[in-house]
Amino acid sequence: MAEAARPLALRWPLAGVGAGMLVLAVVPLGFLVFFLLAPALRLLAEAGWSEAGWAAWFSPWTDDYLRWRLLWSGLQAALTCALVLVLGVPVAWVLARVEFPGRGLLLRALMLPFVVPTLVAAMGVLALLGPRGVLQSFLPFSLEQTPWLLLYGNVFFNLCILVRAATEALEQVSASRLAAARTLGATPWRAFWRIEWPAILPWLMSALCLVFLYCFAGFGLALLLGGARYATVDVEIYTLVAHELQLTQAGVLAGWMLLTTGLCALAYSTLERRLATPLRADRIARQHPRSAAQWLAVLGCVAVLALLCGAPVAAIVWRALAAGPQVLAVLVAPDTLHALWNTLRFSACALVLATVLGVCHALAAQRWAWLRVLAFLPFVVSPILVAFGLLLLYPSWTASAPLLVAAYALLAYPFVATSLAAGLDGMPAHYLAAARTLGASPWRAFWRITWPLLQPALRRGMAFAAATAVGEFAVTLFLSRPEWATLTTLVYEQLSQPGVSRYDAALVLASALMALALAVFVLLEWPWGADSSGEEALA
Amino acid sequence: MLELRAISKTWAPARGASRSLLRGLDLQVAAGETVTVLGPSGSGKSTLLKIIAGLEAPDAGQVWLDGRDISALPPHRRQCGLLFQDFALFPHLNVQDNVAFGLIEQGMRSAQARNQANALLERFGMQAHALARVWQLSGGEQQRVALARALITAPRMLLLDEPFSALDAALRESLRAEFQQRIAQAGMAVVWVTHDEAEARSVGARGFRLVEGALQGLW
Repeated sequence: MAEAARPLALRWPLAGVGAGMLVLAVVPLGFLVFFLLAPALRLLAEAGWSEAGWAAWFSPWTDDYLRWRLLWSGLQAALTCALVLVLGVPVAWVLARVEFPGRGLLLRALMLPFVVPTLVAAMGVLALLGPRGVLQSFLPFSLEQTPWLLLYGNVFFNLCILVRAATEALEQVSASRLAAARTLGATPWRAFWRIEWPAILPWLMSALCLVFLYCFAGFGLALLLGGARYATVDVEIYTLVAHELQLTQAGVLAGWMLLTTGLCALAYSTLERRLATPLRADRIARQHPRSAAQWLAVLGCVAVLALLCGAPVAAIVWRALAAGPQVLAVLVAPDTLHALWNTLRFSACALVLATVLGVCHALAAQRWAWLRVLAFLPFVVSPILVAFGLLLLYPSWTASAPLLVAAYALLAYPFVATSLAAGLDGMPAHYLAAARTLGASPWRAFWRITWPLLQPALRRGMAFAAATAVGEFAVTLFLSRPEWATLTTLVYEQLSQPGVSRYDAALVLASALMALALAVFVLLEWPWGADSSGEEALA
Repeated sequence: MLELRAISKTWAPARGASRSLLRGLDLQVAAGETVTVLGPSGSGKSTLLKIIAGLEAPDAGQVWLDGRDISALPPHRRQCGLLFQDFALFPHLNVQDNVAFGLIEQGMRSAQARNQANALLERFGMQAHALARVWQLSGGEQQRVALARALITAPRMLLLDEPFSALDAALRESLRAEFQQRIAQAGMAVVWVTHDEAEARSVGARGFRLVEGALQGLW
């Protein structure tokens, strides 16, 4: 009887199956509580229990060194936001409004920074602009011990986030509104500021929240590129815990980090809710470039992306290939093969767990909308804080494989959950209504309609999750054992040793790691022989 | 015979005042009869169809089919066909499998269901497209496939929710005549919802306008 009555059955046929949905929700919720919330609270408690009491919380602001760490973390994140905004919006405008050869390829290439591990990106920046970088000999000054290397690394990672969001936003701008503005006397420039800019602003703000979040809580880039002066709070927390054993001080810094990233995530989720509006049908058609100015704009767009997003990747491959056969032999060294095996097995286990968690979370979130926000929690708490919290809360499990895999899965599963949730949102309600009226029970409708149509979204989510696991660095540094070295920790180990050959070996290994992350991503995301109809339907 | 008895439904948005869409609505549609329901957007026409199909529950009232109260039955047990404005063809299935979908849900083996689907597609002049993907078809062809899919299980009632509004005027005219003929052959109770009065008059033996939640007889 209830089956007939629930309007939600239109959107999601399991909505009526209360107990099943509850089980689906409990799995990811339990995981989040056990591996994220409890460790985060334990972290805060570490500082809260100190003898200094409340005063301990404000101690970083009275200490010049720690105050600089906190302020610089915010400042470099804000500077990155400004840089990606200024560079990204014109690039996005060209991608959204101009049809040119290779545009599709360029849009696909914008995924690259999402797949490249942070450690590899940092190595790429060093290979390009570092002490022995490809471009360093052409520069009249050294960028070492300046903030520019870190800012460049931040832009490499985050420009694509803004460009993708802005391109999508510009494609949603109503053609008729723009036409009305033009017929009412607005020049293209005025029409942009008065019609397009207000329309895309919420999307830009949402993307900038993410950029700020990633930069503020950045670890891998800051560790390698920040140096002693320009490292972030995350690096400081790592140093305090791993090298100085000052857990209380680290806990206080973690508290300030959680407060900032939490506020940022709150702003992001508020903006995201505002953006949840139906897509516009009257899209603006892209124009083929005709004038020299239009071609110049296209070239400028390609040049910006090539210089800021492509160059570090190219530099690292170039340097690795130029390292010579002796250094290339590191690829088949026993340590490397062992690290590769560790990377693959930990990533595979994490991927399985992340997929189960992500599917459960996305399905349950269709029934309880507030669950959606919780899927972003692992993005809010940085990997270093997760690892630190886990160490404090479960000391007897330190360096246990299940804990390591669980931490990997925690960082990876939001990709599966959010991708699947978007896929479910994009599923036209009429498909399920049609299936139900054609005799399919809720479960049959799910199995025959929903599940096949979700495959592209699932594959995409799994691809990002796998790339995250393969490139994981921060958690591995904290929770791993020496015999469980992965490719990322091996790269870091090589880099920590003095000598040119070690540095070159690190570059070669970083190239191999990048190739592995890309291969895993393509293997999962590429629709091998699969029907593209699901993507067509949900596009 | 399809019978609606005192159907009421209130729409309660998350914000703002609630609004009565249907107020104690009664309707009887005999087997083989087509009744059209006219009304502007937002008047509750689609909600009425969803209630008949079991996709939404009324706040009050019952739905009877052939002398049996089916109000408590889930959609897949109501022997009902539903045609949508946007066709709602399944994009991951080809034309033949779309048409065979309902038969397979009734427990028929896939091979047999496909044979029956092909036979029906042949009668609809669509056999050449049996293995095509649905997005490869024109709008008119897609709606033909949707009708074939709805009719293949021989439902006792057919509900059409503005089936031609996504099509151009010329195609709408020709399809309307074709659909009328095919539906008449099937002998079901038909509720045809539209906002186009000319279309309503040409297809419906009886016509109603949905005004403030109640049906007013037009002809």
